[in-house]
Amino acid sequence: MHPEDGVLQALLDGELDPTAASEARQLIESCLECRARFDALGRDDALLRQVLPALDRPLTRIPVTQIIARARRDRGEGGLRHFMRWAAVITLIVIGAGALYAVPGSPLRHWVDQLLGKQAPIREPGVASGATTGIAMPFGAHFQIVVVSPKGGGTRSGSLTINLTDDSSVAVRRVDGLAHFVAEIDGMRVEATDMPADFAIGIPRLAPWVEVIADERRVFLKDGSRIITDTRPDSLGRYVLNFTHR
Amino acid sequence: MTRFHDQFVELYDAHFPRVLRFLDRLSGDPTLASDIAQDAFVRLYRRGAPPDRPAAWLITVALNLLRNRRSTDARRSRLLTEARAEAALADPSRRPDEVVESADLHKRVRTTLARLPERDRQLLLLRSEGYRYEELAEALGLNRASVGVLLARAKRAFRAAYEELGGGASDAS
Repeated sequence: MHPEDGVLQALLDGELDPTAASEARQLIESCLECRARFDALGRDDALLRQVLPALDRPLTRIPVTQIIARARRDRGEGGLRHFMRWAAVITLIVIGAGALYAVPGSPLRHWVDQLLGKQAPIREPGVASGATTGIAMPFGAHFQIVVVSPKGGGTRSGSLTINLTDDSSVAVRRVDGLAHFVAEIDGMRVEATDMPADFAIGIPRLAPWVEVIADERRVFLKDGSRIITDTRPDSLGRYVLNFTHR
Repeated sequence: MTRFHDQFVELYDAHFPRVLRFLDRLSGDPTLASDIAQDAFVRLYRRGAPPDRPAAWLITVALNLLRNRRSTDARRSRLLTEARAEAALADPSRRPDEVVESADLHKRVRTTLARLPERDRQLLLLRSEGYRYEELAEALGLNRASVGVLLARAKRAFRAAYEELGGGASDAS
């Protein structure tokens, strides 16, 4: 059996284990053809050893300190680049989130307010201010606001000014006095302490279904984006409803 | 100094010269070779820990860097190679006839190498730097058992091409 060229080359390069090397040597000794191939590979090696140095020229050896300094500098620059990239991403996210939060009816505002447990402030531009008290409640699938006049004789009148808001809670306040506000499971009950009584009601645009009942009569319904009421909105977009109870 | 720092200095002393010479012989461009050898060691330092087989790791990284550099900078590299090769051979301490002989031999060896497939060229040059079969197999993605036979073929191909260009073993002596 003749050893392959790979085996002969490995023997030449000292890459055979001692047993394989010994076997290969015995074969070379006992086979003229194997010997010739082995010698030819040796001559090829010698040729390469002779001619390859012709490619060489003096090369500058770089001090190791220079390599280390460069590696540290690159790492520092890489760290700064990394930081700047993250800073840019965070800035963009903050700007995007701010813009989204500012959009009227934004779900982000709703989620943020819910997350923070924040109740909508009882504050509506265009409604007269005064000594007020009120309530704000998160809405569910259905929400009902029941406004009740105080018991007693005579004419009882008042007004409801309804605004659609970007807040996450339904808010009701009395703008001209005091009232009792009672939170219920799917809504609230509002009882004026005296009459006439004017109320400001803020209904979130995101609220799916909100109904306002004044003295046992439905005076306003928001069903999705649909508004059902007897009154058209004024120039500020508010629905001003007067109610009288005898 | 940290332990890795000391290890790095040892690796640098042991491997930088042969990585550099290998790249110079392979590319024919000492500046490119130096840049890539440095880059490979910078990467090793930034790695923060020595690889299991540093020799093979360094050659793999160096060959990847060389491949990337060549693909992005092919034309510039070619032009500079020729200019630098000529400049490097102009050694004022040599007699004119020696310079001519040396230039002839240099050109013949480079042309011979250029005629070989890339893998054969890399195998021959790496082996001439003393890399072991295991390191050659890992760096070039070869089966360890095939390295011997591939080397034998590459050497035979080198001799055939070299002789075809009019060279013989006595030329180099």
